[in-house]
Amino acid sequence: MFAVISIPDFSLQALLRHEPELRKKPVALVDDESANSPVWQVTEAGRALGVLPGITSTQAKARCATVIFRRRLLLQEELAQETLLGWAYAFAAYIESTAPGVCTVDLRGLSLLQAEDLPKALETWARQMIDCLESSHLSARVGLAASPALALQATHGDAEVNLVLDPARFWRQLPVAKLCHSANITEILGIWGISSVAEFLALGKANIAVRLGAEGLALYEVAQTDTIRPLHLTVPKQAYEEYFEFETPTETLEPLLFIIRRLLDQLTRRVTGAGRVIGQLTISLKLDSGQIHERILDIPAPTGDIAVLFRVLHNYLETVRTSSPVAAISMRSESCPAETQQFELFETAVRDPNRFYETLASLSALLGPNRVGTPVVRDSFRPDDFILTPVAVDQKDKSRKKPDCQAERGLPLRRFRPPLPATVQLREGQPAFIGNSRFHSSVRHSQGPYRASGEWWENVWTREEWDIETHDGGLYRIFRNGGDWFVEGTYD
Amino acid sequence: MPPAHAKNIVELRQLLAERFPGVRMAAGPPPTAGYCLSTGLPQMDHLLGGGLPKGAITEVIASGAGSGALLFLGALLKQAQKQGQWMGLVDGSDAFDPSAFDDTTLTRLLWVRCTGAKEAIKAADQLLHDGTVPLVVLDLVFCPPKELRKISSSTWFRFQRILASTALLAIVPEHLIGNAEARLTLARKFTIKSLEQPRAALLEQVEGYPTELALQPEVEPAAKIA
Repeated sequence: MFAVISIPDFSLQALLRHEPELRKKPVALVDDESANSPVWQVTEAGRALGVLPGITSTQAKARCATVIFRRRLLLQEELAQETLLGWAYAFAAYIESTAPGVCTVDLRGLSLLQAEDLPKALETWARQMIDCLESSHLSARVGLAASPALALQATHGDAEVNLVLDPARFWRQLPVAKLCHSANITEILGIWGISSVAEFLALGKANIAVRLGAEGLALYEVAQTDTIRPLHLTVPKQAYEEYFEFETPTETLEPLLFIIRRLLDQLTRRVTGAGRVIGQLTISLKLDSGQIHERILDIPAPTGDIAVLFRVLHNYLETVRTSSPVAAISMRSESCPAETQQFELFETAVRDPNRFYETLASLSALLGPNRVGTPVVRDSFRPDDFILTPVAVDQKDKSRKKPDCQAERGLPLRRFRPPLPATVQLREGQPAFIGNSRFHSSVRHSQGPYRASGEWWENVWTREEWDIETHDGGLYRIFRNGGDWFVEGTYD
Repeated sequence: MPPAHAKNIVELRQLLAERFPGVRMAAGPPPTAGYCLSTGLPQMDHLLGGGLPKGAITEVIASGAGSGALLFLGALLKQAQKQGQWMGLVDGSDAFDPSAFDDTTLTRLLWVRCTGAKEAIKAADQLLHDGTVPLVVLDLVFCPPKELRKISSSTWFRFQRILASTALLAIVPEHLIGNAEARLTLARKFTIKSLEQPRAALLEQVEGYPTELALQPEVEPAAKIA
């Protein structure tokens, strides 16, 4: 059993995916904006007002003053085709990109074929497919039949879902005009009194060839749907993309955010539909000047939550200033499997990692670089040698080094950064009095000197440290470097 | 002999405590362990009535060097690491020295390095608004007194309001926070000999005492004056 998913007026539907409110309005698809440009496709509302495919845009405007023209965009069609394939792949493994807006699905192996009530199961399956595509603003029809060709013809039926179990009966019911795109042949067949495909096939191949020529023969071949052709199987891309071109370039953030929300909605639906989440977002702003502003945003905790993703984009775009208005916007997302994190028994999970990272980012913006993070002490004897690593909420303590017993002696130091210049008076080689910008006091006790060099290759001691206790009870670390004295910090 | 209305209030409190045992009244007993984060130092937990109260501000006054404020901070870090929780340290004067602690202790530390009290208050505000970190320590010990005096009391009331289940510990050189739920002064007792002792022994010596504030003179009721 095969299913063919067909999207009528595919080019127009692809274009209106991000402007769904226009689907109920008269919209005509044209190649370019010239007066003689023919109308390719029209919405139902447009047809009702007399705007038909084939007429020029001037004629369309004359028939319906409110008609909206949209230029065809091949990129939008490619992305819509990816959307179609993505949804089809979420339902079955064997899919073929048959034509723009047409996808053939091999249903073999699906458990629904084993259902007792097969027609009902197939119809339910097809309805689910249509609902998913509708969530991506694509109206589809599904034909189900024993061969791919017959399933394709089944999409020409009146119903959204057309299940063909009896081909002969189907051909009797299908008007030949649905199969034939040539107005000339349709007219001839009408004169002959042939209205259904079954009546057309009854003429026989030889008679059709003699009377209707190559065009008639081609129509006959289309109606031959008994053979099962092998499908050209395909797999949709894992990178999802959405694109939108503004009618007039936008200069402010609000309209941009409005469209971004819609693009993100589409992206998220597609990604989550495939059972995955978004791990990285790439936003590209095509400027009116031709420049492209692109930024890759990593999502700290990959998610399919549109509110979280939108907040990340919103926060970023608030900081963006472009040299010219934005003409088009493109968003790509890298998907990844939804990870479930196993915490230890008494470990507490961070409730909202994305929000936490946003807070950290705003703290970094407030305080500057290298001001927020988790400190890691370097394996060195240089004083105050550490690096700040980004906070990782999913880190495991097991990966860290064992406690250093030496560091766990005495009182911790509260450092002056940079060290305070001081004046120190020595008595018998030991500090006796200290004065600096914060305090002046005589020294009651001192320990030292503890000598150190800057680097291992230096042969002279460049630094002498003392621990001192002043008369008022203060505990300080002082050091002498190159003849100058400094207070490094207080012990607390 | 207590006045009649005071007796009524006591009776009312007793009645409410019996009827609603889970509800803690502001003027009632100190918070129980369920509402607190343990400091990792039994003597301090005892003084604080179980630990640092969640959703409230604790003021610790470290009036000078050698008071053990950083030892106390180290104990909190260890406790946070043990419980697998994050601890935020808003360092008002960028004075924290990570080399004084082992790597394992630092794994759950979010160190926010500020260059002044004003910046530290802003940073603490953002961290408290986020609410992810269950314990935020605001270290203002090295901040100049002039800067500290500029922090308006409304700031602390705002902090009090935005604290959901986060415990805020402010280490200050002098009393600053009028609306602190708990207030301690660390005793200054460490000497130069302490620098040679093991850290574990020093932690046992960290001591504090509840800070008594000078009470405002009681205003007599208007009816009595009349």
